[in-house]
Amino acid sequence: MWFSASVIEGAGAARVEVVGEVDLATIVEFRRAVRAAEAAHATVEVDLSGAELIDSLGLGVLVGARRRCVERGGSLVVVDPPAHVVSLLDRSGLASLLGGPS
Amino acid sequence: MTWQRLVLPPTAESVAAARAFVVEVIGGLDWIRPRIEDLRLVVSEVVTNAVKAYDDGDATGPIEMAVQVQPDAVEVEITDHAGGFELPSEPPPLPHEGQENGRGLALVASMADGVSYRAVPEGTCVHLQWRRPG
Repeated sequence: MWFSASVIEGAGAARVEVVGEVDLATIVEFRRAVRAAEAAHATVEVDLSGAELIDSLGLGVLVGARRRCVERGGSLVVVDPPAHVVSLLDRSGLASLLGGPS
Repeated sequence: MTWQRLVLPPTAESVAAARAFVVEVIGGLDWIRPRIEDLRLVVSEVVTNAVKAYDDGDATGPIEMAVQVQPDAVEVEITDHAGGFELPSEPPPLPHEGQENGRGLALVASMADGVSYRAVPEGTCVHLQWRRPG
């Protein structure tokens, strides 16, 4: 199963681009990418447009990373979520926490 | 109606294998299609819990998965042989939004139409059901 989580450092934010499925098998790679983005910038955008699945472990990584970004005066938002991720964020009670301006 | 069965090792890669199997068995059903993403997530969460149940023990028995299509429902059973755990009596609430962990079982309860747990020799069986609407 193909999975990638790339970090792109921009002027205003660091962006993580996820392609594939975030689950037990890929969580270490996903967490490493999110940590690298945090290290590069206090404002992080996580592009989930290519995420075919993200499980509760992945959501936990995002919640923890967001807290650390906010503590440093930044933020973390999910951008371009596909419909199944929108629905998951809703049902997880995380839509406002992790959802950026739409 | 017969159960389609798959035996999986308790490894991280089995989570994706379990998803692929359930989609292969039920993916052709029109009525389940709008819920297929829920189903993939629920199977992921339950198989992840099953794999993690082996972390602290010496158990090596496999994880067994069974999927059955009925006229009015889809049933999925995921059984581990990791030594057993305390069966949840009711769905756990969603944790506070700032919590990093603890969402898995709450999501399972909200995304499946039926969830039940039962003890089996040396393990736990999780029974999941999705009912045909109407």
